[in-house]
Amino acid sequence: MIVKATPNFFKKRDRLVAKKLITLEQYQKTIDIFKEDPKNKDIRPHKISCKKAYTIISITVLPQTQVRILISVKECEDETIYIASWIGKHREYERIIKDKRNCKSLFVGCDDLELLSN
Amino acid sequence: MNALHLNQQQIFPTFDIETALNSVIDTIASYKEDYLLKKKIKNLQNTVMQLTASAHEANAKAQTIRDFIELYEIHNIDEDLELLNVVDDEVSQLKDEVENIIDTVDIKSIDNIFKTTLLDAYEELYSTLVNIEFSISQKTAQAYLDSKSDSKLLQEA
Repeated sequence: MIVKATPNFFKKRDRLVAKKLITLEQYQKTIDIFKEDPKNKDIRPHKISCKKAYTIISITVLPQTQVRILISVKECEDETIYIASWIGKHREYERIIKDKRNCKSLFVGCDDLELLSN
Repeated sequence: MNALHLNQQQIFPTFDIETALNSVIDTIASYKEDYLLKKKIKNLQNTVMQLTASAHEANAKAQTIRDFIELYEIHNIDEDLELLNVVDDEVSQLKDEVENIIDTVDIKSIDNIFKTTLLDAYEELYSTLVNIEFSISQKTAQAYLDSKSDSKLLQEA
């Protein structure tokens, strides 16, 4: 299982930490749980389907914070790629998922799988 | 400098919107207690409409930026991501300010059509700014993945 994140994601995460909305420990615990089991109910995973080939998963930073993480998912033949690309408050999250223009999930080509593993 | 280099002070209204809104809301509350004078209410209505128009104007510009971001093609990952980061930082700052405005207006214990008008305008602006940030986050992720050499730079979450 490959779980990567963009620099933009880390920047937003650090802003939330600076605002004391989450702690790094809470974030890391949440990600660790996700890596163990993406469907763990504690992190309240929601699937946001936009196109057949691409999906975004939303999880909540524990313990029941108002912060959510969006993770783009690409199912490849022998592996699933997860890219954490956005983190923010629930009020922002609601505005993102309600906007139909956002149903253009992150494109991850299966050919990139090997590169991501390096 | 790329055309996308943005100066928030040039794009969005430069006056202190939050202070102006606070003043308007306080005045509304005050007038409500005094059962209003028609002329003053008319002036107040004009002020509210101006503030609302400012929010709509800012939202129109923000929509243009969103359209631009969604169509933006990344050719040089270093330069383009630096550019997107600049936009992201400025939009994020403005988003926080608009969020404060919404919260300030929302907590005032009055029920008035002026308040609804203001809130609707700033909520709309807030949504656009949030979605610009989201678009940039998706664009950034895609840029790293599209560049095979740079994709290795993505860190473990």
